[in-house]
Amino acid sequence: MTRPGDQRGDLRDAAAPGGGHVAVEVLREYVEGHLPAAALAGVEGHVDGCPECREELTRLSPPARYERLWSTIDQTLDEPRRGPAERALIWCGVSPETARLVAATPALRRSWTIAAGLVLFTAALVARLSPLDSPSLLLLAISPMLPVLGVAVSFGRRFDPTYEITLVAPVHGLRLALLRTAAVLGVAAGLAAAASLALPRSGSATLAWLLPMLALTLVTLAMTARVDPVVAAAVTGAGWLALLVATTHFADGRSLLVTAAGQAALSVVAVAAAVGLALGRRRFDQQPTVVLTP
Amino acid sequence: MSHPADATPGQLVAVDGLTLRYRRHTALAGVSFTAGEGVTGLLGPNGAGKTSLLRILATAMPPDSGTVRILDVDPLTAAGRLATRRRMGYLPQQPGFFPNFTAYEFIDYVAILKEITDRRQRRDEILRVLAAVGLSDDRGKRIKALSGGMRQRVALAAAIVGDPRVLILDEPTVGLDPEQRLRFRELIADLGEGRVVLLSTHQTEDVSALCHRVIVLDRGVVRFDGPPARLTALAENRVWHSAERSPQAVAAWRTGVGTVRNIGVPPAAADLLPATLEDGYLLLLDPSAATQVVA
Repeated sequence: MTRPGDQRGDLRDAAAPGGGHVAVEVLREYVEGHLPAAALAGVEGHVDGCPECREELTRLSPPARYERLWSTIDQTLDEPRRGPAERALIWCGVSPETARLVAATPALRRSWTIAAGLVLFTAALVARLSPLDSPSLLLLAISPMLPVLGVAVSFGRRFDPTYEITLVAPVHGLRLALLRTAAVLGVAAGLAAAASLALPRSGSATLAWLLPMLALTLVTLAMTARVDPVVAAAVTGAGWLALLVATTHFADGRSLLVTAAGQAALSVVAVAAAVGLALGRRRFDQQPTVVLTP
Repeated sequence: MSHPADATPGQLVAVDGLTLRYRRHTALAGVSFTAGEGVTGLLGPNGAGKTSLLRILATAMPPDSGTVRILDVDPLTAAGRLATRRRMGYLPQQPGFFPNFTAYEFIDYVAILKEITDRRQRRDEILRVLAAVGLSDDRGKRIKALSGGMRQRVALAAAIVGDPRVLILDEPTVGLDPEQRLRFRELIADLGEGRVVLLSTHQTEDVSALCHRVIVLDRGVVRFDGPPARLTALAENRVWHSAERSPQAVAAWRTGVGTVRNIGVPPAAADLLPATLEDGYLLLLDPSAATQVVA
């Protein structure tokens, strides 16, 4: 096809100064994506500066394809920007929808994560400088409390701005609760593990916080079926501190909880809390009739 | 099982004998009514039990006693609750948002909660509901940067995700300026076509503008149930204007033009005025009247 007043030459003409236009066949190949890579730059360079060839190119391009392309661009611009945690979850095989539900966990806001990290590294630093034989005691006391606080600020009317619409969504309340708790627990465990690395060697006792962290989180979650999350967290936290004081020999800074027997007892607590959670799962689906609030 | 709330055709929502107590306070003292397609208004003073009633219907909490049927299922059972949640939209009294989410992201989140897991289908639905509330062009704005009226529209868009048959709107027009309120009424009137819309308000104008049916709730009891015109009719021949206030009037106030508008017993030398829905409502709620009108 020729247009009045011009001659369509081949690509070499197009690239040459003062030459003609890009041949229709070449443009068609370009649209269909069959043009050799070596010729691409020449065609694009010419089309960029030539309104007539651009018009010809538009005529040759199927409109549906551009609509599709445009809608993809539009969708990419609209869709949520994924944070690192969300991307990591998807990379691990979690569905993008579930990852989105997890990423919206109120406690995962940067403020909680930063605060948790600061507290743990301060604890590690203090422990390093302390004269106690068992420097991990402070970390043991603090680490399990972090996810407990995280759970407290992830549920309930007070901290979850979407409480009401989440409550009446078809997604089961316990599923959402477990997702959010797992997210909080994962972040807290990661931070505590990093803080443990900063401690002087004290063998397996360094990781003694892991079981109490799990047990306390489960206890708090199981309690939220019946009481306000803040109350649940406060009771659990107070109980933990009391237990720690009762089982620690302060002369040498050793806690019974670090021993095999202590850890076994904590596992029993964790299992009991998990059973309680399963038994009370229905209560996560509606607001309890009576909510104990502070 | 048979009970009075068993829905007859056209009664898509039926409640019977609902009661609810919070510690010493009785929120609902035996509420019964049915509702079909169209906008049904729930009118009443603050603390009348409107929000409690709507939260029970929205499956946010169970009542102490009574029966509920929504679209032929019993939402007080676990299976019925799930079925109801899949076909119901709810705009809470104080809708909450993640302020850093854009309007689009928030609706996306809600759509995931409503089990729309297919990405393409979800996108179509998000664009549909945002267009329905007139927020297509603002979908990329963060919610914290939106005005109160726009946030309320985001909340309404969230409620209509999944095209629910039943819509429960708790004071959707509160905090809106007159123009926004007008726009919201248009939206809600459109939504009422082919759907059950239950809307609570303490604005009598909302009811006269929107509802084909009004239920007046006062201290946990249904005081009126019928078309808005009948509520207005309660005040017919009982609204007067005069130079001075009538001491026996249920309500009397000096209007902008200088005369006093009296509802109830007429003062000396008074002229009869056409009644409004608000007049009927004020007369109904007058403690000395203690009327109960159920159509």
